[in-house]
Amino acid sequence: MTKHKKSSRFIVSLLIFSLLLIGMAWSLPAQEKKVITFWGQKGGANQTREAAQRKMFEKFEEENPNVDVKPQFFPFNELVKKTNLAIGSKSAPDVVYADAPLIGSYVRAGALMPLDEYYTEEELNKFVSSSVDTATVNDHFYGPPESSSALALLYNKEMFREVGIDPEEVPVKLENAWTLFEWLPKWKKLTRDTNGDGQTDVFGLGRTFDPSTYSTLPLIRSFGTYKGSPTYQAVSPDGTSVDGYLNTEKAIEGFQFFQDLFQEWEVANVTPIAEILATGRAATVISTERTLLNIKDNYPEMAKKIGIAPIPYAYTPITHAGSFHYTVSKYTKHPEAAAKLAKFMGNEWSAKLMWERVGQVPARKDTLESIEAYQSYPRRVFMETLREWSVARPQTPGYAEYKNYVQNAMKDIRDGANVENRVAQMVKNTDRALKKYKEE
Amino acid sequence: MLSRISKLASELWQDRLENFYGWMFVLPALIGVLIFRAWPMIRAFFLSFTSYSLIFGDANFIGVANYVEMFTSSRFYSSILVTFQYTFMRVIAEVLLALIIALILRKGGPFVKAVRITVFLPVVTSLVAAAVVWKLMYHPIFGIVNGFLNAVGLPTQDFLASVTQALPSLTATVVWKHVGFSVIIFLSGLNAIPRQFYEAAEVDGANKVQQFFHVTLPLIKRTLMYVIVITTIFSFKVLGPVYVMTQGGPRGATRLLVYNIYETGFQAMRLGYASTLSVVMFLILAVFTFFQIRLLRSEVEY
Repeated sequence: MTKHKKSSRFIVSLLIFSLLLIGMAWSLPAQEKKVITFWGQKGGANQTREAAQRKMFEKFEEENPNVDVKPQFFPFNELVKKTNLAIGSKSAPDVVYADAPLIGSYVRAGALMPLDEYYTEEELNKFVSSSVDTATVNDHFYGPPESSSALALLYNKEMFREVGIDPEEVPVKLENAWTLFEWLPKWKKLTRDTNGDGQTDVFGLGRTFDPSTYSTLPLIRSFGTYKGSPTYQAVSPDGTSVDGYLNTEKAIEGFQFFQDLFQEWEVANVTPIAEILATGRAATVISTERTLLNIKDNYPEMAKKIGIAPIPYAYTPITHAGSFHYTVSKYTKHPEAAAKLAKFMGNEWSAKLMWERVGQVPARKDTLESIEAYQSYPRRVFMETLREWSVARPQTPGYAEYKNYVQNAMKDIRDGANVENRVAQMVKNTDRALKKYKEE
Repeated sequence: MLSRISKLASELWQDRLENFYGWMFVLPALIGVLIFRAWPMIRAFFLSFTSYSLIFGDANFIGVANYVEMFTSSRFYSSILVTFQYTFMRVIAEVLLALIIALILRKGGPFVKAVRITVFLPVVTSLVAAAVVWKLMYHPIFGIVNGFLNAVGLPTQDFLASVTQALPSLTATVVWKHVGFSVIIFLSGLNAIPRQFYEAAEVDGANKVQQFFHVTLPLIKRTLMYVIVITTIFSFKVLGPVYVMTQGGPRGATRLLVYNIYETGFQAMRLGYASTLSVVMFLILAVFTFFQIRLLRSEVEY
């Protein structure tokens, strides 16, 4: 009986103790997780990018157990449109994955938070300067780059031999790179009708896409006779006018040269052809590292024939750089956590992971130096171009308008429009659209 | 007297109740129309007087500046011209082709079902998928159309990259895609014509051509009007094939009004100015439809 009494007492006290513990736990303020939202790219070549970012979130959550990252991924075009709309309606995600040239517009819209206090001068110096310039508006830094990009000329060595050009003669160093005028006779020679049906089968300079501000505008800007010349700048310093920048004598010369490639000399294809270099329909293309990686992955035989040379230019060498940046919404409920995540996504570990998964040239100097592939030819060309020749795309708060009018004009010029008239129309339309930023 | 008054009152009440129920039934649809149709139109009208940008969300009032810009923009006039050219080509081609196919199908025969399916299949195909396939078919190097031309000794054509050929090529794609829809409407119109009219015409000695012009055509005038009006409206609204196949090029040869609006609003992010273009497009369409309906009003009833 005593034994039974004892055990009953023990059970009752255990119950009371457990209830007390539960009660204490209940009364403790539950530690809420901070939810950080993010929208990224998905689909096609971006699958590996999505995987890399998911891995970054896993590691970040491990290191910061009080943060829960909620990502969503969209196709590229949809992402940019969705982000633009969200910026306008003040409903952007906490960490805004901003396309480099749009950062200025987002800042102007008052949508981003400066991250100056999270970066020391030394930390900023770890990024290539063009990437820092892209994300710096009115002396404030808005977020680290995911990676960067640079253009180079990829060429088919075998085709060079077939037309009697020694591929070994092609300079691979920046200091003795061929200009557009030196490349032109080669492109003419390389453009061929191989089956005698009167149609061009191999283009000297292949085009896989319609003209864009990223890949085509550097050709025009390179007609500027010195760095900082109006043609090289391509927009006024305050980003509100292109008059006197895109319609200079040199810019017109550049647009005319661009048109002649398609219409007069017919060395470039008017209708874009996908995988034009990989499938042997062009002897050269101007493209990013992604083309080289695609050929290596999917056309291993062709990859053995490919060489890399610096991007051709007219008077001043130039390439556009920049990819996406991790910026922080001004309206986030958790500025500290969001800024911490943005900084984490731009750190050396993340940059290396992104390079391993996506293969795009990193925007961090330390990562660039630590990757063996960039220390030797051919990928060294991309690294050196990025470090020496790269600049941000023209910086204007009205980049969407700028891009639309300039790209349309370049398309029309490619298709044979009168160069002077079309440039005049483009300048008029662009300036009219950018005027509102001047007045504000 | 009193009973008459109470009867009248009760009838009035019944009428009101019936009206009330009627309104209740249409209310859900009415709310939808007001929110998703009427309100955006009113809002677009107001936005057309602002410098509204999708990124900035700043609808600053700028008076008639957008209208001034539009009326002094060569791009606007060229997109109007291209839209009219496209509409004219498409309506003529689609209506004629649909009518001919419908007349053949009405006759019957062993292959009617197969032809009907073949003609209607593109209608249920995704527009974007069809446009992508046609774009490949028109390709100067890989395209099957050029393959056929070369096979019969004709030179390669740069269909979508040629200023003169891009719009007709685009129109051909859209006609192929939509003709089945018009065929179905014509067929229902043709089948509704009573046989007696043809029998009477035959008795009067009318041949097939005379029967078509004096019996068929007047009696399907209403159907014809419907097809023309709806095809015209569809033509003004076309966007998908332009976006996929030409992006408005070459040199603006296929920059139709809606594509111009899309480009201005969603690529250049100038939603205020894009709204101005939309308002004008609405007015053009309204005037166009009004005159079409008046011109093609049927005078024959049966």
